[in-house]
Amino acid sequence: MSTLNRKRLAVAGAASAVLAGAVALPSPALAAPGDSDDIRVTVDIEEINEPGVLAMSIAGDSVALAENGSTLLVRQFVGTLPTVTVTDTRTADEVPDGAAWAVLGSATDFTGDAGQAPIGAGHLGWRPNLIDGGETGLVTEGEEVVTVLDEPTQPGNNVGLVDQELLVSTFDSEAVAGDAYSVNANLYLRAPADVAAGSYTSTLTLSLFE
Amino acid sequence: MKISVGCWAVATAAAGLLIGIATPAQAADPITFTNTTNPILGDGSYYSADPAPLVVPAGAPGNTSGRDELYIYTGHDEAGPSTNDFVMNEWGAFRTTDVQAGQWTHYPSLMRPEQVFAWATPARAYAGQVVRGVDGRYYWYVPINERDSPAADKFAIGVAVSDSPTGPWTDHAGGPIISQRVPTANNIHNIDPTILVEGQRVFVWWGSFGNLRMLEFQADMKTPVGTQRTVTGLTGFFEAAWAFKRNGTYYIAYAGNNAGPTSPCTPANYHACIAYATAASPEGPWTYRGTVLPPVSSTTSHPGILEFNGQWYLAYHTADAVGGGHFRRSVAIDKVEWDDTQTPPRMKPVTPTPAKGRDLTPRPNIAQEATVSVSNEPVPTQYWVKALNDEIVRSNPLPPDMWGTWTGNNPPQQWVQYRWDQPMRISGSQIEFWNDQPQGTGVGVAAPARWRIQYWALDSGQWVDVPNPSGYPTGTQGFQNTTFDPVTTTQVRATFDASTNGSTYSAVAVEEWKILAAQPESVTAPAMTVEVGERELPGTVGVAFGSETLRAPVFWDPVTAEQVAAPGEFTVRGTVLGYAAGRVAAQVRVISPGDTEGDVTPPALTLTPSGSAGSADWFRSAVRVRASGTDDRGGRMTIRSTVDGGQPVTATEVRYADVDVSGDGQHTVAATATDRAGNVSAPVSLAVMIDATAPASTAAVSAARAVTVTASDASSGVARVEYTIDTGAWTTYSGAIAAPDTNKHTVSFRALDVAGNLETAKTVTIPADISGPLTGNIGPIGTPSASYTAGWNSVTALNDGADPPSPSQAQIWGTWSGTRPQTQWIQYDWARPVRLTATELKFWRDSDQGSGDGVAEPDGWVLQYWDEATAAWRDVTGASGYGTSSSAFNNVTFDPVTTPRVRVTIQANGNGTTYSAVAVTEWRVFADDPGDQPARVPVTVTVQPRCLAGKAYVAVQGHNDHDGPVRIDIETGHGERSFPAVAPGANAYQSFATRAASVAAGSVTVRATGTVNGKEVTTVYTTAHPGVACAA
Repeated sequence: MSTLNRKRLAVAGAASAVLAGAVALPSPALAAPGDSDDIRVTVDIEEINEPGVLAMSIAGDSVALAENGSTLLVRQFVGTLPTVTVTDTRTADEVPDGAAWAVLGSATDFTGDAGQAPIGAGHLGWRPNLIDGGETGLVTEGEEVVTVLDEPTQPGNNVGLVDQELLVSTFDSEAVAGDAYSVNANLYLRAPADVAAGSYTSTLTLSLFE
Repeated sequence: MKISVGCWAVATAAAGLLIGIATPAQAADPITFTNTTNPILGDGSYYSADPAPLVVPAGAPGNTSGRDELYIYTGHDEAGPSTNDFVMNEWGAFRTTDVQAGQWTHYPSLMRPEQVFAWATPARAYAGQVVRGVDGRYYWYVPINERDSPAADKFAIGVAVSDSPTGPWTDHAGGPIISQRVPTANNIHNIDPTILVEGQRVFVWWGSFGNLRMLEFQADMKTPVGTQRTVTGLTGFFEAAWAFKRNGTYYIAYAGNNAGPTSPCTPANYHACIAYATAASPEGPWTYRGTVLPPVSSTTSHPGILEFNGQWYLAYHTADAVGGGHFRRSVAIDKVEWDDTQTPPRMKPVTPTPAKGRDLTPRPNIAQEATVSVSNEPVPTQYWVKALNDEIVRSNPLPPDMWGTWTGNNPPQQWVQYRWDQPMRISGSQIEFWNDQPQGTGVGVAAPARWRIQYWALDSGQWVDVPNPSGYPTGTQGFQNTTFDPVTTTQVRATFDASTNGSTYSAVAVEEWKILAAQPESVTAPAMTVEVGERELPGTVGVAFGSETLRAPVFWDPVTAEQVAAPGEFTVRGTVLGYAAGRVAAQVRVISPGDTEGDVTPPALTLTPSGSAGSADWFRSAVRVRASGTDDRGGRMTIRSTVDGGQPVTATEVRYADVDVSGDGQHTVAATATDRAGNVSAPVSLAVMIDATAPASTAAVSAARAVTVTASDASSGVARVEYTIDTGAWTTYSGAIAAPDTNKHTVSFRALDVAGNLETAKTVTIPADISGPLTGNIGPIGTPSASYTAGWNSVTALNDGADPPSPSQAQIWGTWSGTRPQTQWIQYDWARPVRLTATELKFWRDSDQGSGDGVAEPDGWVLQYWDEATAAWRDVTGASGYGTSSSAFNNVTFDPVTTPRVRVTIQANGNGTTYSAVAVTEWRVFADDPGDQPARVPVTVTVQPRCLAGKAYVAVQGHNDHDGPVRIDIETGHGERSFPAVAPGANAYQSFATRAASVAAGSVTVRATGTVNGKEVTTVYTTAHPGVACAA
C-alpha cells in the first residue's frame, strides 16, 4: 500500500478561511507529425500506450461551516466537503491483484485566530455521501464518524476525525478500474455551548491509498 | 395340553415329523404302590400329565371293591430329558380308595389313539376326560390328531366307550365328534374336552389358545343339540377347561396365562395359573372368580376338580418328579377347601404340598438368597426373572427358565443385580448364558460381546469392578466361571454389553447366575441362649475372614418343642449360607425367663438398616431396620419402635424387631428395649434416607435435529444425564445434542440421581435430513408399519438393510397368527414427498402354497402410494409386474410418483377355507428425487480483514447471485450496514473500521432478503474471517 496523493483543504468554523491545496492532474503528452521542404521523411509513430493512473481530485480547497442546529448544550456548525473524485484510468490488467483503493481523511484541531482555546478535531464529524459509485456496488462510502459529544452510532465511532477515517473505498480496485467515482460528505462541528466565539481554522487532509 | 406359543407352532412343523416313531406298547399290567406325597408317582419311572379325575361309586360297573374308587386318568409324557415337545402316545390312570392313605394302583396304558380310533394318527394323546354316561357306561373324550383331515389344524375330539373304567375301549362315534369340520366348521385348536352329564343332558366344553367353545349332546353322548357357541367371561383363559357342578352352581376351572408383573395369574406367559369362573347354568353367563392355584414348576398347568369321600380335591401336574420337566410332568393331588360364606361359594387358594423347603446342602453359592433386580423391568412376559437364582438349569430350557431381554428393539447394555441383607464376602461367579443367535448378528438372543462383574464398595459407596478377575467368558454351553479377589459387599451386579452387528443389538439371556462365597478357614457357631419355649434361633453367625468378621445367614434345623420345654442344653445343626465345607453345630442353653433376681443392667440395642444401599447415604429401596437387643441375662426383651415419630409398635418376648421403612424421603427410626426385669435401654435412633425411584428424563428433537434432554428426580435429585449416539460411548450431557450428520441416528439417554438410581435408557430418533436429493433404496430412512406383525417377528426387519440367507424369526416381518386374513399390508412413511421409481421385496415361507396355514408366498401384491391431493391410496401405474418369489427379490418398476408414503398390499394364498400368513425379509423402495431444498436467496459473501494506514478493517462483500434485487444486511462486530436493493450481479460492500491495529478472527452475518417463487425469503449467511495485525 502506498499513499498515492494527499490533499488538504481548510475547514473554517465561524468565519471563512482559505487554504490552498495543490491538485496535480497528469496531462497526457502527445507527439504529432511535423512538416519539411525537401525530403519527405515519414515515420509511423504509434500512439504512446501511457500507463493509466489512479488519482484523486477535490472540487475545492476550502469549506466554511455555518451554524445550524445548535441546542442549549451544543453549538453545531455544518458544511459539505467538496466533491472528491477518484479517477482510475488503469485497465484491469494494470491493477495489481488484490489491490483495493481507499480514501481516508483526518483533521487538525481548530485553532482560533485570536488566541481562543482550540477546538479538538474530535469535535468534527462527517457522514460520507456517495455521489457516483458506479454500478458494481463495489465502491462504497465510509461509515459515519460522529463527534466526541455524541453517542456512537457504530461501535466506537464517536471519535471525530482525529485519526484517519474512511471516506470511500472499493472492495476490489481491479473490478472498478477505468472509471471515476465521486463522493462528498456532510461535515459537522459540534462544540460545547460555552465555546469561545471567534474564527477557527482546521486542515482536513485526505489521502488516497492503494 | 399346550403347545407353548404360536411361534413354536410355526417353527416346529418340521420337528414334529421326527417324533412320529412311536413304539407300539402293549397295555402294561397295573402296578400298585403307596405314596402319600406329591407327585403321586414321583420316582421318575413314569411321567403323567393332564389329570382327569373320576369317582367310580361302589357297585358301579368295574368297581367290586365295595368302596368308592377315585380314578385319575392321565396322559403319558414320554419326552426325553432334552426334548421340548409333548411326546404322548397313550393314556393311563391312577386309582385309589383313599387319597390320604396313598395306596395307588397305576394303569400305565389304558388306551392308545390309533388302537381305538381307526381315523387317528398315533401319538398326541393330549388331555381327555372320562365320565359316566347317561346309560351308566364309561365315556372317554380325548383329543385325536385326525389322520386324513384336510383341515389346517387336524386336531379333533373323539369319544371311546367301555363297560369298565379300565376298558377295553371302543370308538363310540366312529369318527370325530368335534373338529374344524364337524359338526360345524371352526378354526380353533380342538383339544382339551371337559364333559358334564346332568340327567339326560350332556354338555361339552373344549378349546385351547384362548378359544373356549361349548356344545350340548343328546343322551347318546355324541349327537349335537343345537350348535357350538363361544364361551366368554373366563379372564385369561388359555386352555385345559374343567367343568363341574357343586350345590347348584356351575364351575369351570382352567389354565390362564394372562401374564405380567401385576397379573393375579402368572408373571411369565409360558406358565399358567389355574383360575375359575362360575355360572348359574351350563350356558353361562360366566363370571371370573380368581385363581385357585399359582403357576406350577411345569410351564403347563391342568386342573381336575371333584369331590371324593366327602372331600374336594384338585388334581394337577408339575415338573417336580425325579428327572421331571416341562414335557416330563407328574400328576399331583391336593385338597380344595370352600368358602361357603360367599355367594356363589368360592374355592380357597390351594396350597400345593409338600411345601418347598430350603435346600440345606452346604455349598458356596449365595445367589439363591439374594434379592434380584434387573435392567429391563417389567421383564418381557415370556421370561421369568426368578430363573436367575432358582438353582435350576434345564438341558433344553424354555424362555421362562431364564431371564432374558429380547424385545423388538434391544439396547446396548443390560444388567442383573443381586442384593443381600448383610455384607457377604464373595470371590467367584458362575453364569450360564442362553442364545439362539451367534455373537455379532445383532438380532435374537446372543451371548454378550463383553460383560463384567461389579460390586458395591461399602466404604466409597460406588460400583467398582471386582479385583483381579480371571476373565469373563461368553460361552453358551455350561457355566462360565469367573474368580476374583475376595470382596465384602451387599450388592453385586453383572453388566452385559450386548453383541452387535454395528447397528442393532442382540438381547441377552441368562439361565442361572451363581455368586460364590469366599470360604473361611472354618466356621464355629457360638453357644446360644433361648428361653423356655423359644424356638427361633439367631439367623446369623459370625464368620471370620482374617481380621474381618461378617454375620453370615445360617439356616438351623427346626427346634422342637421338646428341646426347649425346660431349662437345659441341646445341640442344633445348621447350614451357613455360602459355607461349603459342611454343616455347623452349636450348643443351645435353655433358660427360665423368670430368672431376673438382681438384674439391674438394661439391655443393649442396635439399629441396623438393610436395603439397597445407594450413594451419598441414600437407600434405593424400602429399608428394613432391625432393632436388635442383647441382654446380659440372655432373656428375651420387649422392643418398642417408632417410625417418623408415629404410633409406637411394641414387640414382646423378642430378641429383635424389624421396622419397615418405605417411601421416598428422609425417615427416622427410634427404639428402646426392655428386659425381663424391666430395665429399659437408652433410646436409639437412626436416620434413613430413601430414594427408590429412578430419575425420569425426557428428550425432544428439534426441527433442527438437535436433541434436548430434561430430567427430574423428586428425592435425591438428578446427578447427571448421560447419552450416547447410536453405538457410541455414554457421554455426560451438557447441552443440546446436535445431529452429527444428515443420517438417521438413535440417541439413547438416561439420568442418574444422587442416590445412584440409574434410569433405564430411553431412546429418541433423530430423523434423517432427507431434504437433499435422494437416489437408491430409501427404505432404511422410512418409518415402517404393518397391518399386523407376529410377536416373534419384527416390522423393522423390513428396512434393516439385512437379507440373510436363513433369517431368524426376528429378522423377518411376518403375520402368522391363529386367524390369518386374506389381506395384509406393509408401509413406509417419509418426512416429505419423494419421487419414487421402483420397488423390490423378497417373501419368506415355511409352508407350501395351498396349505392355508403356516407362511407361504402370497397370491399377489400391489404397490400403492398415498395421493396427497385426494388423500387416498392409489395403485402405482405402469407397474412392470409383481413377482412372489421367496428366493429372489421381486423387482417392480413403475411410472415415477412423488409421495410421502407407499404401501404394499398383499393378497395371501389360501386353500379355499383359510389363508396362509405372509412374511417379507426385506423391502426396498427406490427414489430418483431432486431434493427438497428450502427456498433460499443466493448471495456469495466474502470477508477479508484489511489494513489501511496501520488500522484494521473488516471488508465484507456480498455478491448477489439471485435473479432479482436483494436486500443485503451486513452485521459485524464493528458496525452494520444495510443495502436495500442490490441489483442482480451487483454487490453490497463495506469496510468496517475497527480503529485498532489488529482484528481477531471472527465471523460476519449477512442476511439476504429477496423474492423466491413469489415469496419473500431471507437467507442468513455466517462467514468466518481470519484475524490480521497491521504494521504501524
